Amino acid sequence: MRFVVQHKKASYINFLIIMYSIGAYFFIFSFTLYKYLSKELFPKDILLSLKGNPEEFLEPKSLLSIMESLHIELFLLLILYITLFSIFIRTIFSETFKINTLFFGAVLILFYVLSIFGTKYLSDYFSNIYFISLIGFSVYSFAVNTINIYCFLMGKVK
Amino acid sequence: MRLLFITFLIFSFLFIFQIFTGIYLYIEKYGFSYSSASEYILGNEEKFINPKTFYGLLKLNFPHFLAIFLVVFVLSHFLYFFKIKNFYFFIAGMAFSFGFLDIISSFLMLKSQIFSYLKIISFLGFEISLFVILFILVLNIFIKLRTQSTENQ
Repeated sequence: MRFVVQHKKASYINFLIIMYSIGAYFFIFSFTLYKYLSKELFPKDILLSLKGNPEEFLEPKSLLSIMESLHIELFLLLILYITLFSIFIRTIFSETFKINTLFFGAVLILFYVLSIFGTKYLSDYFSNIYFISLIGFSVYSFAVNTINIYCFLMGKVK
Repeated sequence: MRLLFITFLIFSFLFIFQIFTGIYLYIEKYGFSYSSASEYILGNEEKFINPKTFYGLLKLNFPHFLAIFLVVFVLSHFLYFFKIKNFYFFIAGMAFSFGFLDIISSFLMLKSQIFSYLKIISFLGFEISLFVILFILVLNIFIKLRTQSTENQ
């Protein structure tokens, strides 16, 4: 009887995690698509958006506007990060691998935030870091999400 | 457990950036004076600031009802993994209440300017209580990680 109850409980949490992970895929795809469509994905695009172009009469993005979009994006990315990792730490991988993956994700988010200000105020070079960190985080969260689904479907969890 | 604590620690560190963007936006829009806060909501013809409508405030604030409560819940639920003290109830309660008042005060300002004080106080209260929760969390994690490493030795 106890086994049946616990088995039911485990199946239920697996079901919830898999449903959430499917939703997370949609978020990752739509976030990247949104960045592409709002012309803030590629290094050239972000440079144009942040610094403007007098020849094309394009106004540079103000600090207030940057902060407004960053306030929302950072919130969403952090919620994605903490939920993906709350699941990921239950998988069977070694602790060292999990810690490294955890830090890698944090570094990507940190670089993403800082590179916006770097591009605006320091050097155009930071637009490349912006692009790499943004695409990097999308690929990274996609990979972690896939690992989560695989491990929970195959029962490879602690 | 160690991994869980490291996750909390990294999340808390990154969350400080989120708090700073919120503080910047508040200073730019409302400011900490009675006049600047009421000007943002009620408008000022001389400064070409349009008065806000109920619909405009609702559009801006409805995601905050979820976001603020979610953030306070996520941060304060980390404390569940440590020995629960009465103070945790108090500080989490403060964060929830100030967060709610911070949102609702913008709507109340449409009725009376006097609620500008409530806006300023509730914003400060909300940010301070978030920082206190983060501080307690980080302190507890460090103590726990230190104890664990001493036990392992």
